[in-house]
Amino acid sequence: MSDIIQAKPFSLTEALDREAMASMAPSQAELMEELRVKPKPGWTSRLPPSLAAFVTNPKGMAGVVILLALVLFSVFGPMMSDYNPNRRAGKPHVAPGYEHVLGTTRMGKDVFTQLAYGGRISLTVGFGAGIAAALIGLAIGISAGYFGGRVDDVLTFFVNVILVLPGLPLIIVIATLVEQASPLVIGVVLALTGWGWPARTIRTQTLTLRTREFVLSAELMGERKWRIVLKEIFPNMLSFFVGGLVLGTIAAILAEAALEFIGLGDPNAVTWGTMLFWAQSNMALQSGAWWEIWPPAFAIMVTGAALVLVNFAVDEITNPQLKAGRKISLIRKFLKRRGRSADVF
Amino acid sequence: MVFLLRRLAFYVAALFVAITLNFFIPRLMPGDPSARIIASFQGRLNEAQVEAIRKSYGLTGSLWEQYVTYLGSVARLDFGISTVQFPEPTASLLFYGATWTLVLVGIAIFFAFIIGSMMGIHAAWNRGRFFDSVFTPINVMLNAFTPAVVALLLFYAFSLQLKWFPLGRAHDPSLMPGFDLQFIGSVLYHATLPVLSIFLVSFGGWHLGMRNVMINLLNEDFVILARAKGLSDRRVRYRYVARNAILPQITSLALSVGFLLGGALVTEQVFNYPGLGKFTFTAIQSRDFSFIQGQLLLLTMSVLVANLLSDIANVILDPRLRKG
Amino acid sequence: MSNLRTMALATAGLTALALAMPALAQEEVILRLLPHHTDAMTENYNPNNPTGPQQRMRDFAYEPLWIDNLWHPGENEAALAESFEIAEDMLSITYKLRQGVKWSDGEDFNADDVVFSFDYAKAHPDYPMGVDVYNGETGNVVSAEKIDDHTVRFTLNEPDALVRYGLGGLYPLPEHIWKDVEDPKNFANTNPVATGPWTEVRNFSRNGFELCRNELSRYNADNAIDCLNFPQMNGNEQTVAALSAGDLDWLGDGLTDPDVTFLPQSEFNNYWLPAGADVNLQLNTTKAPFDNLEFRKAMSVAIDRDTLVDIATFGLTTHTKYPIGTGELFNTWYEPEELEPYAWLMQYDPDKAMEMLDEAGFVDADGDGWRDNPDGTPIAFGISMPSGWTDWVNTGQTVAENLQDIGINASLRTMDQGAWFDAAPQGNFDVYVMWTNAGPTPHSQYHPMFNPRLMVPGQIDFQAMHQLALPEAHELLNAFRASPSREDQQRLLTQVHKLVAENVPVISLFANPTWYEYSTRRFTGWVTEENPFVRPQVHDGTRERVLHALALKPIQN
Repeated sequence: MSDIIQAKPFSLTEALDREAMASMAPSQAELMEELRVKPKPGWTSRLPPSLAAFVTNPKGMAGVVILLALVLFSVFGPMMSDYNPNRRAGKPHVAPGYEHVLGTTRMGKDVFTQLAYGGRISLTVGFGAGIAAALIGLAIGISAGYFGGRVDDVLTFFVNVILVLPGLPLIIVIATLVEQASPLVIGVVLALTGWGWPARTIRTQTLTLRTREFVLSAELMGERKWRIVLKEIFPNMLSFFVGGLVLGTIAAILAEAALEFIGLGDPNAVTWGTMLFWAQSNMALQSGAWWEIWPPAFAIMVTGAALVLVNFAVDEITNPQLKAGRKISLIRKFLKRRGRSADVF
Repeated sequence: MVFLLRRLAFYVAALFVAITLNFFIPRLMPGDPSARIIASFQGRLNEAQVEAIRKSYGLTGSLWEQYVTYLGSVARLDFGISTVQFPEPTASLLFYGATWTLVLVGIAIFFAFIIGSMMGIHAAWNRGRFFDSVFTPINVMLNAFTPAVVALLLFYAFSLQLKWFPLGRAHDPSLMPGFDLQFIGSVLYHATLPVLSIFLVSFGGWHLGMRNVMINLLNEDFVILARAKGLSDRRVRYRYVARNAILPQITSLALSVGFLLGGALVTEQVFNYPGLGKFTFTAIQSRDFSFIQGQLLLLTMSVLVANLLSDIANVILDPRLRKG
Repeated sequence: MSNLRTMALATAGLTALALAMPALAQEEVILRLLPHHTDAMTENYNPNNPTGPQQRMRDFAYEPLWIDNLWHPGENEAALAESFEIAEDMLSITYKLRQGVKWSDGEDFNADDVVFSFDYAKAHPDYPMGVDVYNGETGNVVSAEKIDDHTVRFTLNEPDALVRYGLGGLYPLPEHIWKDVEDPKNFANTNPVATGPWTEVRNFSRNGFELCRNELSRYNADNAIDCLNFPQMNGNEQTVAALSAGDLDWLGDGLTDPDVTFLPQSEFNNYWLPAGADVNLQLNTTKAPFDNLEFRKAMSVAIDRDTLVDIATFGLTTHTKYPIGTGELFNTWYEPEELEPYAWLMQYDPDKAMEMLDEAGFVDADGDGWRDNPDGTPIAFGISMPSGWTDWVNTGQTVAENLQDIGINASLRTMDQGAWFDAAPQGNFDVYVMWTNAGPTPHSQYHPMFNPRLMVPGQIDFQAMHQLALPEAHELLNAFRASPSREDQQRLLTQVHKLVAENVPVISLFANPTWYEYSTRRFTGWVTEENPFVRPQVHDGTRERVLHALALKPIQN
């Protein structure tokens, strides 16, 4: 999706701050106010730098908060409901109201309960497949990048084959191999077909890291290779790993929903995808029962949006130049007010 | 040249692996077309006839023999005969379906790539300003909305409720295919909603990709130099930055061809569009092996060809690669 | 007519296409019908090709020997044969063929074509012409012989009073065309030669084709329809919308909540869903716990059929009265006083079911909350269902819930439909939801259900999946087939009914609807509940559908 490009360690804001401080005289507090630079380092400064960068990133935090809300909703939502998601709870297509907060399906099942239970499964499958794909990608990417040579050739070949294979149709064929494509099966299939992208990115990153001083010095000191991989390379891959994880999770959640929506999932399982499938098969929209289709659709869209926000933050951490963009308009104003050209940016 | 040859070797090897996988994976699927056909007779066949039909649709020879035969027919580009749309050669069905999928995906990619990249350039140039901070997240979030939902809602709103657009088909059935305005108009009319639904979930990716690459390039020496020379803003933006930023975009475009062609399946299913995905779905349900294989092969090949083209484009646009 | 066309020519637009279209549209009456969903139309007009062409070519182009008007036996029945006679010993049947019938290429239709068609079916068992050919082991029709130009006698292996139904469905092929066809299964028959009211193919494209008036057809005097149009469509939203928009006249698709999603779409939309064949649960009686009669009975009592009919199947199905594996479709064969004692098996009574299970020893032995077999082994089974068959999946879910309520660990197992079809003949399953065969008599359902030859794993018929051998039922059904009188048949069938009710090899659920939707926008004369002159389906297997089409008249605007 988004190409992550290695950036030079350079922070525009820092440089500008320094320049601004040096060249102008007004009170420091005013200036800091204008540039929205906090006078004292906050509590975040005590966190490890990459985590601090994440925590101070509004987009990323917004995404995390939304995701947390979704997780909490799926964990505790079912407890707020007396209904069984698999059982009829009322008359068919009851509109949202006191008895059924989000109405009932054509089969009389409670939409709210289904949405909460469905969230458990859909989020688990999505994150599970995303994490698994990212882990496979990490292992293969680091191995290929670090060991190089024959190992790299063979692994890169498989990475490229995986990238070249037609995704969704192949997943559909595999899903029909097992009799019942339960969410677990779908998750496993998605994990096994989804590691191509992270493997590719991480291999590229490893290649650049391999020639860095700290890796070379560790090698000269006679460290074992797997220790170097774990101690020196892996920590630097963390943000790329998280990026791969986030993108993989988005892909897995969308693919699961798509598979189940076209009827290849297990209709017994209550997930957001099967809820959509049932709403579509029982012609919920045509019958005017918008409440059967909107909640799962909305849940999938919000999840996707939240993950995208997290991905923005990850992108900005792996690539600090992107982050600079956030403050640039403040700086522009700052310079303009002082009659200086803002064109350099 | 060496670079291209190396890539070519990879493509040949990848193609072979893909061909082999495409052969074995569908074979593992349980069932063959006969059971469904027998069922349709509702007991009007006697035992001998049932047996004869089962045999006539069954596959003969060992798996190895079948594989060798399959390799031979792939080499001759002979995809066999469809059992579901009998006696249509699979190749002609594939061609028919692929044509319509290409219409959908082609138009959608075209607009998504152009509009997405233009928005990305604009966002990068004005990073941190209103457009960037509002539209970049929104466009990328659209990207994470599942095609199923977007297609369904468009279909419901504009086809079923408002009846502005037709339900299904690639063109008005009373028109004979041809290169006249009426026919092309009808094709575009029928493709509008499916294209829109693919477009909506894909242009955000190009936007973000272009923006991120552009931002990285803006601080490169050659850009600063170009500015210092006093070149016009426009010229720097397009000739210097965008031109370089487009390379990785083209690479990801090539890699996403398979994803998009395959992913059109859901859209085609919702809009009843006679594309490759729609046929594939039916073929899988009725165990039309030759079609499933042909389709997987076609998708793999199109991805490989797209990648080869992107390699060539990279060589042309990036002189450094010509030496390596 | 030529004036009209000249006028149209003079006034119409610019392109040749635009010239031709309005002229044709004004002159011709075209009935648009959809007997088969497909993604792309194929140029195949083989009347015995089951992948689609058969749905369009039978009855309308290729005529059978006989049209059994099942709702009104004795009315409008003759087709290519005018009469038939079953021999005293029931070992042969003689058809008198209609005189003066011509194939659409001008050749005469006569006894040679019928004899040829039978021999052809015999020579090509993988080409399903629907004739029960005797091959030394199975089947019953031994040979066909020409008595004179318009008389054919078929000889049988065993006495068979029902053979008229099977042979009546033979669609004779023109000998002068097909004698050169070596491999009929793979023959596309691109230039169909037939005797029916519409035989001329026109305007073929991937999007459909027209089948137009056969100038030599004997129906022409009464036939108001010039062409049948078979559009390519797939998917219910599309077909319902097409019917509502006036792009389709006759349809037979499954509907969901038709009063909300179908009727309001257009004032011309109509539907009628008379009860069709039943749906049963097939239990694998070779396995525990289904080998236990009490268990099967308890299952039947545990099922809430009101919910199945009203909710799971949208209120479109019909209740079944007796636990006999068939329902409303064959209600003329009910003998209520004999069957009433078994009616309780169809009543929802979970308490009684639990009581029965307790008594039979199906109690929760290991304390996991689910009942176990009397020998202590746990019970857990799946109800297999093709994914995507919505109303059946709903049904299976409801049944599983009902069983869970009485402590049986049952669940719904959906699979891809290819796998579902494929698993059926293997007999390796727990519970299947299964259709039953419609047909002229209940024999077409019960015969495959109890034929021991169809219970061999690997070749199990969809109806024999229960694999409960009831030799007595098989004997009774053979006797039924050999009985010429309806009274004898009734007596024998009631015994079969009672055997089914006592042994519960299958659990009756409900009668599926017969799907039939039509638009009164352009045609009148449709079959309605008030005027049910023939069975109204548009699908192959309903030979009366040609009579239905011929009864339609265009509405003059």
